[in-house]
Amino acid sequence: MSNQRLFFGLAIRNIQIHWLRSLLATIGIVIGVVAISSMGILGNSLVLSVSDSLTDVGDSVVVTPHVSFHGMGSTGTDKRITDRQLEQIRRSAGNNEVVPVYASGDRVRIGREILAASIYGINPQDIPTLVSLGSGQFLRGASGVMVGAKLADENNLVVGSRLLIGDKETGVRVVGILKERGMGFDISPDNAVFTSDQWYQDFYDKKGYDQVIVKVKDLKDIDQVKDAIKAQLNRREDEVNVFDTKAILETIIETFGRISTFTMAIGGISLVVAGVSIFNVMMMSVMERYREIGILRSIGTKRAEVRSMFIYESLILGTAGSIIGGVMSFLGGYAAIAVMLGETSYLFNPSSLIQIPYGMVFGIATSLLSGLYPAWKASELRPIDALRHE
Amino acid sequence: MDDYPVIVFSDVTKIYSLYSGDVRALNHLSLEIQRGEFIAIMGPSGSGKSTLLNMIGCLDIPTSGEVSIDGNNIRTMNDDQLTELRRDVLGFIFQQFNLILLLNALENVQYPLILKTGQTGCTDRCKEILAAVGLTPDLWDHRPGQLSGGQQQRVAIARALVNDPDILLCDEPTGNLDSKTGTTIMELLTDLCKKQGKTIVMVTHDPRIAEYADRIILIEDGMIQGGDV
Repeated sequence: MSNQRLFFGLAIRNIQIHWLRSLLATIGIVIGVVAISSMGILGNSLVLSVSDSLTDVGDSVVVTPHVSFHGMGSTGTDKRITDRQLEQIRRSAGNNEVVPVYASGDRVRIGREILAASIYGINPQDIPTLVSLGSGQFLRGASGVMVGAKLADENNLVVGSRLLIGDKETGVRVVGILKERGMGFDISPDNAVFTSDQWYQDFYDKKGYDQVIVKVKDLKDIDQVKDAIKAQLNRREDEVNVFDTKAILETIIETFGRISTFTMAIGGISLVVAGVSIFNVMMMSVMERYREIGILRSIGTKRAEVRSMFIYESLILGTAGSIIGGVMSFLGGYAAIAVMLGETSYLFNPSSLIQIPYGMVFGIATSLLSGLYPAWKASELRPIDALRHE
Repeated sequence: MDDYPVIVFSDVTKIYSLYSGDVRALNHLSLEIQRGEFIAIMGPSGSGKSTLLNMIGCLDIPTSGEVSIDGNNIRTMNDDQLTELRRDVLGFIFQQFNLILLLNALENVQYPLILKTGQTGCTDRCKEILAAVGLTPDLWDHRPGQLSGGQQQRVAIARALVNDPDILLCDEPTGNLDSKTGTTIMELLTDLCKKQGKTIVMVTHDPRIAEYADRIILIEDGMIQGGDV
C-alpha cells in the first residue's frame, strides 16, 4: 500500500512543521518510558540483589519444637527436639544431611568487653555443612570454638584469642573464624560463637536440640522433605514446627517484586501524563488542519486514510519518544542501581533488560491510544464544513 | 461521445437545520447537464448555488429528490463510494485554490494520482499536466505559499485534472485573481472543455466570466429562475 507511504510522509511533514510542540510531546513520552523502565530495572535489580544474598540459605528445612499455649505454661523454652524425634527426622529426610543444633544466647567476655552473642552447639563434623571457614580451622574435637566474622572483626579476635563464656566465665580458645554469610533463617553465624555439641551439652547441661536443620540437596525436593517430616512427627499432635527457608525467601522476593511493581506504577502515571500531552498535540493538529482535512476529503481522501495520517503522526511521536526513552532508561537504570545498590551487574540480567522493551511498548501503546480519538475526530469531519472553515 | 446527461437533478430539495430555523437551500430543483457542456451557475449570495455545486461534488446529500452523477445515484452510496467518485470522476477548482500547504506544487498534483493508483513513481504525467497548464518547471518544487495566486490556481487545475475526471467543478475560479490572470485561467478552462471534452460546472458572480460558458443557469431562493435551462 503505497497510499500509506503517502500519509506517513504527510505525517512526518506535519511533525517537521510543528517541531517544537512535537518535540515537547516526545519529551513527555521519553520521561514516561524512562520512569517506567528505570523503575522496573531498579526494582528488578533490588529483587536480584536480595535473592543473591539470600539464596545460599534457601535450601534448608528448619524444624523447631512446637510451642503450644499449654507448653508455654511451664518454663517456656524447655520444649526441645528429642533424640527419638531426631531419628524420625533423619528417616524422613532421606539422603539429605540433617544437622541438629543447640542454640542459645549468652554473655561473652573478650578482654574487658562483655557482650551478648549467640552460642551454637553443633557436632564438629556438621559445622562445614552450615558455614564456611574464613581463617584458622574447623573444630576437630570437643574443645575450642569458632566465631562469626562480624564478632571477630568488631572485637579484634584472631585465631588463638581467648573468650570467656557465661556467668562462670569458662575460657575457650578460638580455632577458626567463619566467613561472613549474612542473616539466615536457620542460623545467623556472623555474630555467634560455635562450640562442639559435646562442650555445649556439658556446659549448659541441656537435653534435646533447639532446632534441626535439613540441608536439601535438590531444591525440588524441599516440599517433599517438609511434608515427610510433618507426616512423621505431627501425625497425632503438633510436636514440631517445620518451615523451609525457600518459602520465606520467596515471600521476601515477592514482597520486593510488589514494591517494584508499585514504583513502576508511579512511573506509569508520568506516562499517562505524556499520553495526555500527545492527545493535546494531536487535537491541536486536528483543529489547525480543519481546512486541510476538508481539502483532502474533497479531492478524494477516504475517512480511513485521514485517520491513518493522524495515527501515524502520534505513532511517530510515540516511537521516537520510546526509542530515546529506551536508550535513556538504560543509562538511567545504570545510574539508579549504581547509586542505590552500588552494583551494576544486575542491569545486564535479562530480567532487568526486559524492562526497557516493556517501557517502550507501553510508551508506543500510550501514544497510539492518545492518537485514536483525535484521528477519529478528524476523519468524521464533514468535508464541506471543514472547507468553509477559515 | 455519449450524449446522456452526465449530471441529473430531479426534484431536489436540501434543507439545513439551523438554530434560527430551517433553511431551504434548494427547493424542488431539477436540472440536466450534458457531457461536454460548460455551465455557469449565477445567483445572489445565499441563493443555493454553492449547495448545488457541493451536491454535484458529492460533498452534500439531498434531503429529498435524486441526484445522479455519471450514472451514480449519490443518495444510495456510502461515504467511501462518494469519496471514490470525487477522486476519480470529479475535479475541484476552488476560489481559495485549497492546495495542501505541506506539499510542493508537483506533490500537490501527484497526491490524487497516488490516492487512485497507489503508486508513488508516476511523476511524468504530473509534470506533463503542470506544463500543460502553464506552470514553468522552476516552480514545481515550490510550496503553495511561495507561489502567486495565478500560479497556485494553475497547480489546482493540474491537480483537478490529474485523474482525468469527466467533470470539473469550479467555485469562483478567478475570484482571487487579477483580471489578466483570470482571463488566462478561463481560456485554459475553455480549452479543457472544447479540446478534451470535460464537463465544466462553474459558480461565479462575475458576468464577464460567465460569458465563457455555453449555458448560464440563474438561481434564486433555491430555484432556477432563468438562464438557458
